[in-house]
Amino acid sequence: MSEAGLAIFVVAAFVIPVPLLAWLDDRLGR
Amino acid sequence: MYAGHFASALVIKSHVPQAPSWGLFLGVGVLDVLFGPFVLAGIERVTVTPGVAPGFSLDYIDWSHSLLMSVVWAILYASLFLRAGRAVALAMGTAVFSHFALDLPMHPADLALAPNSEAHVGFGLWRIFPTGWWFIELATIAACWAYYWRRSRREPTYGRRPIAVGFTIVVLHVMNSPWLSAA
Repeated sequence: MSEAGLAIFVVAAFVIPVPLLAWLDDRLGR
Repeated sequence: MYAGHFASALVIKSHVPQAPSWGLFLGVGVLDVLFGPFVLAGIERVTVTPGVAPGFSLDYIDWSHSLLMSVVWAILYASLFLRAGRAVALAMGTAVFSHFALDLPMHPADLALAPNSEAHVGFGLWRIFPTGWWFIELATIAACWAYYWRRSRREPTYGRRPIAVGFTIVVLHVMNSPWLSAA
């Protein structure tokens, strides 16, 4: 993996799971 | 540290249930969300190091990850949530700064105190325990999740599927293991 690829990969790794985790956690849809 | 950051959001959520979950989960990753474009723009530097844990060397990450800038990013991020109240804004700022606090034990001394400062900190568990760090982070995740689950049973506004939340974070941690990581 190149440095640029790693940079993009890191951002994706921290953004993509957010909606799923929030949905699994939240009971009120906030 | 990767999945452990998401686990830290669970602890913050447990203390400030009115804070939006998405904001906390995004907040704990803000420093790395900034790191990506900073590297692409040439503001920060990273070198891929196959075979040397954790698979990359963070050569210059002073603008996204230094102590001073972590505080600055935390304040800026918190300010976006001021309309939701001081407690929520403080929770968001805490989420952002927790990234620095959790990176500190893992990183080698690549975390500057401020941009371009001589002093860098980091206890280096990544290098001291090339595979053992993964179990240390797993223990951190387990502790955060257990705390969250216990507190969520008394609070009806969050923790809808606590086992699924924990499972998802562990899956992310497995994907980031020394044995499977893309880096």
